[in-house]
Amino acid sequence: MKILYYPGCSSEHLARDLYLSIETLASSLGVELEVLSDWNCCGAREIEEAPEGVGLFLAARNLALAQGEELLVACSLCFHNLKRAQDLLRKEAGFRARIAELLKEEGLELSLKTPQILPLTEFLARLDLSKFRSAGFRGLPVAVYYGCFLSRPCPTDLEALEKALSAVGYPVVPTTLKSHCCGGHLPRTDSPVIKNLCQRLIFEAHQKGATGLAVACPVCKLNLEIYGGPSFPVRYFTQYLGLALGLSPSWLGLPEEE
Amino acid sequence: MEPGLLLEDILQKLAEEGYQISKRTFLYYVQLGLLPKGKRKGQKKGGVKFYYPTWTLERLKAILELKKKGLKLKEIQERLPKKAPSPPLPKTFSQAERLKDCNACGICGAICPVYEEMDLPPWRLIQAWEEVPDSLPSANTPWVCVGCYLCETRCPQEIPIVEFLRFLRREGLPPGRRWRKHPEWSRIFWSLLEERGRSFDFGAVHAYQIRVLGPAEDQRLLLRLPGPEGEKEVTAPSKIKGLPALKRALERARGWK
Ligand code: SF4
Ligand code: SF4
Repeated sequence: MKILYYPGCSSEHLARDLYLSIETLASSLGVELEVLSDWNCCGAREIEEAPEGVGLFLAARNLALAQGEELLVACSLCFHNLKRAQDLLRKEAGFRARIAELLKEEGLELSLKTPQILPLTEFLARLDLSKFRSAGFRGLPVAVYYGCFLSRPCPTDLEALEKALSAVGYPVVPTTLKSHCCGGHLPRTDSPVIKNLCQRLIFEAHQKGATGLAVACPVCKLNLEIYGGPSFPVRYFTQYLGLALGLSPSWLGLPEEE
Repeated sequence: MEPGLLLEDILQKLAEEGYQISKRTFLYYVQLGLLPKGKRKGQKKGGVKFYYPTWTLERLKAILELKKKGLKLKEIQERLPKKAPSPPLPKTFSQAERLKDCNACGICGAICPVYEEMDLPPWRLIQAWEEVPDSLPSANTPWVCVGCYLCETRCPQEIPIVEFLRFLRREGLPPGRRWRKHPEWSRIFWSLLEERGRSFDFGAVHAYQIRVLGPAEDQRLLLRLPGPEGEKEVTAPSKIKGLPALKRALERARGWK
């Protein structure tokens, strides 16, 4: 199976481990990731300070390059930016016309229907992962965390992480804060607010008997690691999946002793 | 009276819009009389700062545009209007009608995960806007908002709170009343995006310090991590093929009204 894939800027450094684990996972699941040719940055949070056209254009160029039914996106912020732009362009003919003008520079055209922007969580949840589980693997209980952009304002499947992880043998402990906020891109770094938010998420997971927290978003993971306290493991859900498939930790961007 | 803009604010704003100019050049233009002089103001915490009138921004943009066309500074001076332009009219929020439905229940402030960092809760800004759009207080709220959408999902009146805050941040407040957030990162972010088509989610590295060494072609980026990892070097993002067209399109998109 082949799927068109938008890596996003974080794949090159901040979330190198996420992307490593995605690539490893894909090859062992027999999924061919076709990287979107000549993709560009989605503008992250910075587009919010620029005129609307800037963010819309950055997203639209990627969407126009994506000739296919679906576009797989791993980073939650990229997902949010692409999805928000796509929805806005579908709704507002005025924006659409102006963006179409800009895309002409490169001979690109935007389709109204495609691609469907597919978050990594949903993509992995719909594969039959159970048959790839390594024999003898016994997963310890984990909790999951979706964060904001997979939950709001364009909600994705909020059982996807549970489905994927339990398919390979992890007992998933239910939590009430799985769609709450980790503090995101809060500008002040010494803020007690962000510490509180992160520690509360870790505290709940720990209280409910989880041995680690499976996350999907690079920003959430960074925040939880920096502010959540050192002793509770926070890993990408793809890393957890990889371990259950018997893949080497180093191929998943994890330290060897895991 | 408008307090005016700090030099750093002006340079940041320009960088966001894709212009590159150094502090030195700016001061040189002031010296030549191309740009207005800054007003000296003592700070509460001691020291002085220089504030430039807000129209400096537009004027500097005009200068840089003329320079791009190959004009000499002397010719530019002749072309520029002599007087200060009249202040721009305040922008309007496209969904302003919907703000009227806010019943000031306060839920948006109560649910906001980062409320404690805010000078005022979102609804106070909505109410101020409702009274007189120009009376908006200079609160840090629009910049502190992390865009989690918790307020919007709970608001009983379905007010487009996040869009409103985004609007305030972008254009709803005069530049002198805009709160500044990591101007250095913004600058690097946009210059990488302009030069490569790809960047770096600097927002996500707010706990890091960043240093950039060397010119565009041979840039080195150093990140300092808060943990035991210390400083590490990261490679600048790879360049996209459609860069010239992307740059032209971005420039046009920036001109959107
Ligand atoms: S929750 Fe909605 S109605 Fe209530 S104060 Fe906030 S914006 Fe107004
Ligand atoms: S979207 Fe912004 S204002 Fe609303 S709850 Fe989240 S951080 Fe607070």
